[in-house]
Amino acid sequence: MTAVESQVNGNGTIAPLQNVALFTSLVRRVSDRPGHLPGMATFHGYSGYGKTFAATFAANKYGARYVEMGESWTKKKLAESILTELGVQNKARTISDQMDQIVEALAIDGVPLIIDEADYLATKGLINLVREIHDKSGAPVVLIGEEGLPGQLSKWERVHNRVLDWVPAQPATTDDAKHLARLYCPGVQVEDELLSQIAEAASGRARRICVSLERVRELAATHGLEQVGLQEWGDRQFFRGQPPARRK
Amino acid sequence: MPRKPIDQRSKLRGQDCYWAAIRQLSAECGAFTLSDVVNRSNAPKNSVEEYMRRLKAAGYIEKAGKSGAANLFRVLRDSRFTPRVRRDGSEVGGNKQDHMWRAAKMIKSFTPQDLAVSASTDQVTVSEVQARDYCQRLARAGYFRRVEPNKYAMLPSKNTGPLAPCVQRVKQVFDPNLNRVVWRSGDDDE
Repeated sequence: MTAVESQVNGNGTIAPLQNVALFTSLVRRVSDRPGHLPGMATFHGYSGYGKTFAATFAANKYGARYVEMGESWTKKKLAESILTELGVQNKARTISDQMDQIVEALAIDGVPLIIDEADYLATKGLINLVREIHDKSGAPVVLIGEEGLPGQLSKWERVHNRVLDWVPAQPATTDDAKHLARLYCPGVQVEDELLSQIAEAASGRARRICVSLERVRELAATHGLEQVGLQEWGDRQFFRGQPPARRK
Repeated sequence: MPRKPIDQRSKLRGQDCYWAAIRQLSAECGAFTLSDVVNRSNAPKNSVEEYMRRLKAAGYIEKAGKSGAANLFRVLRDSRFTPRVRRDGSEVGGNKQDHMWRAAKMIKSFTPQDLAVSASTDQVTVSEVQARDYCQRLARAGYFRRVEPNKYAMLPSKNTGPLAPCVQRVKQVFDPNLNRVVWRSGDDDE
């Protein structure tokens, strides 16, 4: 494949990335579970591990509905946001009627519901609303949240019993960086030593690797390079995500 | 004659109309005939018949006896959105715009490349060029905000629903959730 071709149609997919594979197989398991098993699941890990980014692949593949919780959210806001995401016209007025609409729509669609920033569900006590949606519609529900999410959820026994699997997100590895380089620097050969330093500086944060790779791509474009290694990179900084130091 | 843009098509024709009629008939009387569906539209019989044949092949409806000489059908598998089915009964999967819309709502701020990468699956490949085009058009329509020269952000208030606002060939953006055109070429010109 030529460089031009790979830029036009060789974007490839994020499927080989570790977290994408983990999340996709989790969604597959809750979707294809036998009828008697519960269908809730969590995907949890430290901020910046690229959990949401990793979730896009399975969301598109399974036609999932996605809602991101907010700090200020009430029961009503949650119910209304799910209805919007489900595309239900003529929303009911009360939360209980809205719940009926959600359950009906999800039961017909049979697609997974992904709730991001699910920590707020636990801290605000909205988790039982989600459990009710799951129980009545039978739709798989995947919660994405911070590292402490399973601990928070285990306080609610009825919720805890409905979780089929708890999957921790993993820090990005050098292999992930290699694959991201194929996606983000098409037509540029990025040497392994540079990639492992980029991955190390990013301390497992996929998003930081992408920012560094963007710089690699710019470097290659401005200097017309087909190959970028430590030598070409020189003493440029890797993206570590640290705020700038105080000026003296 | 070329197909009209979605916002200019008759509401009494097309698959959306037929499927809505089928669901309504199913709720009212359980079973229905081809003529029942045709009578609730303004379309020629053969186009409704073709759509129902596809629905049957895909398992959305099934035969349920006869009413006089006509075949009776009933809904076997319900769907809130109009099923898009090929002649052999296979489903028409999500298109590139559907994938980009879903990915944009999830990752919220992105370069066109981020969007292309996260919207691509093994079945649907989105190129960076296509993603850039989609970003530019949706920025014009006021759905995305340009935060840096090469970076866009999804506006939370513009999360209108599951259906992707579609960039049409007539150079306008149509939001099927709101059922209206949200940007027309010539509306601005930044």
